[in-house]
Amino acid sequence: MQGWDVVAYLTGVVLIVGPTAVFVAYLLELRRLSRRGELGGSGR
Amino acid sequence: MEDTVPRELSIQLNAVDWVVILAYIALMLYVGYYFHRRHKSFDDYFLASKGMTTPLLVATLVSTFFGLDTLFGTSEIGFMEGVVGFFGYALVYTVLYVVMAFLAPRFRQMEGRTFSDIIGDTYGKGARVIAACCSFLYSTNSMEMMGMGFIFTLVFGVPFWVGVLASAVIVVAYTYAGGLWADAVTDTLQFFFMTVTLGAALILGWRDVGGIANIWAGLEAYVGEDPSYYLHPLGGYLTPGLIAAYGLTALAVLCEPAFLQRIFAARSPRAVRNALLIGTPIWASYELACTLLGLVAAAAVGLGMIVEPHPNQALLMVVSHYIPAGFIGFFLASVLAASMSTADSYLLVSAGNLVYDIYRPLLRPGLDDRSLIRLTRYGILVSAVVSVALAFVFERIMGLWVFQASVLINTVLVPLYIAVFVPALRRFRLAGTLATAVGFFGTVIFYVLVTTLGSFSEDWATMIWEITLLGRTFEVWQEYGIFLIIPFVLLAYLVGVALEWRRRAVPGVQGR
Repeated sequence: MQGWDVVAYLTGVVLIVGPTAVFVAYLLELRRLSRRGELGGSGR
Repeated sequence: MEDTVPRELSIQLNAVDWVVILAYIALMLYVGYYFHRRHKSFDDYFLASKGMTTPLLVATLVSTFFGLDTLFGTSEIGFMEGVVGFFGYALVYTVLYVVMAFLAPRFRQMEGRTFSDIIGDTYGKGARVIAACCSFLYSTNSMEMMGMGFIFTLVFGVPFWVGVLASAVIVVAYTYAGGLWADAVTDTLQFFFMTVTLGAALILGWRDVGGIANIWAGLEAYVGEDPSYYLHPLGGYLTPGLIAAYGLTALAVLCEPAFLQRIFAARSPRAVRNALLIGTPIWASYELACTLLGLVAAAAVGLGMIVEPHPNQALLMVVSHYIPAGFIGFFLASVLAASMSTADSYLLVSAGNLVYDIYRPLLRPGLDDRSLIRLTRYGILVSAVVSVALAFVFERIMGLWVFQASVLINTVLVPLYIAVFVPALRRFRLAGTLATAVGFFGTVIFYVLVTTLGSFSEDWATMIWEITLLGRTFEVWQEYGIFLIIPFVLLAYLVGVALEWRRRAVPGVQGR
């Protein structure tokens, strides 16, 4: 039954670490897109 | 716990909470403003220039598909039945996300803007319009409108109708102004908010209640009997029929209009496949966290740590109890984010259905991009009005959702997948038109019959129509609409293929 403690904490950690990593990757992406002028338009 | 009755929730906010909530709303509006007038083409506005990369896709896919139904509905099942909320109801969705990861690249290669595009290009205008109508019906998101209204009412203490209208105005404003770019960028912020706060709430709540040992004791006190079914993957009230019915509604993942819009907007087939594979563990963790927080709430009630909440407010109650002061604003902003990220996406999709899929091919085939953007913005307003109106008209919003999912699956799934994956069968216009018509009108007729001739079961919270045949009584649930109608859709497709084959075989009649 103690396994549920591990499952609960692990789930919480995945929900914090996973999206944070995605968010950081997105910010880096955002900076690159802004520099190229591709954010919000096709850049053409 | 018989002496306790469910309480309505009230949350005390401090200054930091207010700042967070108001800053969140201001940020959403700013994003819409930022993207206003940055669109040079309809693809810029409706498909984010087809330039969405993996991180953006992960965020917008996850946040769009998880609204308040997951947050409150899954935690409600966790509260009342236990981990079956994840294993019985949610796991089938997780499996389908993985399946979709391998199907999505093929859709991206089709170069369509909507699934009605693919259906229309394959089967003609009739099938296209029927598919677009059902996509519009599916995308009028009354449940999220009501959810946003509920949170606004909770936070600002305004009447419910004011909450619905005020939140709808905010979502409409940034979606109207910024299109899919604004939608996706706000989704990313919303995704971050809703997942991280839920993860923190689970860790804090689980620890504070004392881990599984105390949770078990709390559950024993709460139910007054052996609570082992709470930790059984298929415990609770599930029957094989119900598992099948809920499993079938999950098929909506395979033809979800907002899902497919993001797939079409991906920078490349590989980007969308990776996004779905990265998003799946986050989706699964989110569902599991909602379920486990429901469990924590039930145990906390049993231990006398919180008063018994209304089951669908269990998660809010437990989080507001365990999360440190000052972070409630973050959590409420994340709840608002969960509903807004879903509502904005469907507003845009349904506006596209009205203008791009129905109005343009039927009445104005030569519509230029500027006019398309302008009219799609008007479509967002129309869709918002319909969604809000339905939210007030439908008493049982869950029943509306079951209808919406059924009509989508029955109408679109078979013809769309044949069009994309079975090249040998896709050049039969009549077959596609017949299949979409049987799916759409069959579902509508089925639901009219069940809702007019059936009655609402308080025990199962659904409409059930009892039919007596040859001395035996059969129960037809509204959830059965999918597995009763899909066989007729397949049959209609095959009949259409046979008729068209025969017609082509007649000398002088040319096939397509």
